[in-house]
Amino acid sequence: MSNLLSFEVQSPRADVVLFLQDAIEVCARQAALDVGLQGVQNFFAGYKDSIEAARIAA
Amino acid sequence: MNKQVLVFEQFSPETATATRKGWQLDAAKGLAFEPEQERLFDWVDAHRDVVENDAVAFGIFDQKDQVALGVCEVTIQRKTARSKWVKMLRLHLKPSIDASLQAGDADQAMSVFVVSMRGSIALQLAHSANTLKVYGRTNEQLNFLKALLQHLTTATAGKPIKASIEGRFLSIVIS
Repeated sequence: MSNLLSFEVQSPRADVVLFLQDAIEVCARQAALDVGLQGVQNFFAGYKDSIEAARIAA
Repeated sequence: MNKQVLVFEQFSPETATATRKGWQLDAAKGLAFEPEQERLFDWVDAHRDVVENDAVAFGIFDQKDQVALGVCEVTIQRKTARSKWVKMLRLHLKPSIDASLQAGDADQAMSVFVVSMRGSIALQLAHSANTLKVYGRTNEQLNFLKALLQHLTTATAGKPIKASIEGRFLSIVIS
């Protein structure tokens, strides 16, 4: 019950965070193979345009 | 040859200045538009500290160098009393790395992206944030994030991690 009354944010578990970091490394490189060089180039090109669009999304 | 070790760190005044100068050298070679870079580094100088609900600039560095290989824009947002989000909004590549990418070598660009993601995930732990959101402004960015989601869904099966596309964000929730 005390947990329900607490307003502390629950921190993610460190072991899960480490697992996710390693998974991201592998999965991002697999995704890059899926979309190919052009897809990766297009992905980074999307960051070049419209700083305001990203700020709005924040 | 030693393997390059990349780290995700907040900018210090020294690394912000070194990075501005390093990227200016790339711009002088015609690899970038200098006024645009100046605006970026003016923004970096004003966003070096983590302030909840505001954007903060992180650099992706070779640990032996003060010149960042990328600038990552992140926000740490408190959504409710019990929930915080880390949002990875933008990633600017050092012009020379972008030039390599345009020439057909995506390896360094992907390394910068991976370190940005790993660093943003580390921020989840540091700031007790259960959700990471990665913004995809264009459809091409979303295509890549969807491919990433597909692999991530398989890789994290059975773990307390839920990944999905929500609007224009890849959302990764650690429960």
